[in-house]
Amino acid sequence: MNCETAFDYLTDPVLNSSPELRRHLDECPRCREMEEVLSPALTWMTEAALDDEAIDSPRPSAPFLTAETLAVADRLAAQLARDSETRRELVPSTFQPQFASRSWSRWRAGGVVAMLLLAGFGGWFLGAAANPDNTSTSAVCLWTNREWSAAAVDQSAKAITMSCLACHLAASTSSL
Amino acid sequence: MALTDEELMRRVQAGESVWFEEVVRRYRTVLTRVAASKLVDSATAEDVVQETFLAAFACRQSFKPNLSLRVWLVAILFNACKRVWRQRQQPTGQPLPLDPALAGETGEPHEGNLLAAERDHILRAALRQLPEPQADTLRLRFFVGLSFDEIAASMNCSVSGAKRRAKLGLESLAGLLRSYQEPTR
Ligand SMILES: [Zn+2]
Repeated sequence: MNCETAFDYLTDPVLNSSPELRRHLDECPRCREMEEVLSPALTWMTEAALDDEAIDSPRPSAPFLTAETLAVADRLAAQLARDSETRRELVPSTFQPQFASRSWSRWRAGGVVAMLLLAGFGGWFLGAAANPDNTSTSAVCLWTNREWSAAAVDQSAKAITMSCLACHLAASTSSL
Repeated sequence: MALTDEELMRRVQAGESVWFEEVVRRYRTVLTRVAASKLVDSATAEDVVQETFLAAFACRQSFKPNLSLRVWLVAILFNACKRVWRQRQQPTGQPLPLDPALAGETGEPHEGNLLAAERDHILRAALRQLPEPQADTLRLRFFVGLSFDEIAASMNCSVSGAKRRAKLGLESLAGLLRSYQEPTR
């Protein structure tokens, strides 16, 4: 093991107790000194990383992102697509939303998420839901064009969604 | 045998949306840990994680199998956190102060036996004292389990730059935490 790999091991919550790392630290004063300096941080970070119980939901009784809410969003998106002249022009007429509704039934509806979906995301689901077979992307997609992360100060999850929607709409328009 | 992340997302993309449940099951804890570490309020952190999954589902077709699903989800999560900061005018450099009183009734931080929740709170506060790129590097490395290659790709920096951020962050964090008794492993 070289010093580079030793740092990878030191900062890995699982590997930092490995015998290989211990052997290297025994033989390498530089890494040993670094481990001593960083020790409180390494110990606390490792402990936090391995402690699943530290993550408690502040609302344990509230449902978390239920599949039903996703299904509602997809149905809403499909409904909007059917109602919209613009969508009629953009969305292939053979499109049917593909949801395995039977499998979802055991999930509960989530009020907060449903509101979020209906108020904020419903429209944006149009792109992803309306064109499920389309995997093409374009220059506007924030994710596939990784420059977004440099300029991400002003971006949000919704912005990513919007940008991806733009990809799908552009692609579906050009395919008509 | 469990499906790989790539297989899971292929099924979701093919319309078998029920498999997104497994995506949520796999990554909810990791994302919640990261969000809780970045945001002060746990309820907000949970909202942000839900929003992250919603956004991921909404743009599921743009996920490329050659990408790491966890890197992709974390990228969406980080942007969702930035939106929360913007809405609340809470810049990244405004951390919770480390409160020694959290360490026990006496306010004496050296007494040890910190409860898990207290340690969690102290660590979150300490991470928020760091420059955000350093704190994010540590979150990605320890809480998400990304390699330094993946961190470099996520944060648009070199691998050596990611390691330098990790080392600087750990040095600062060690200084902040040294006064607290180290938790037993
Ligand atoms: Zn060494």
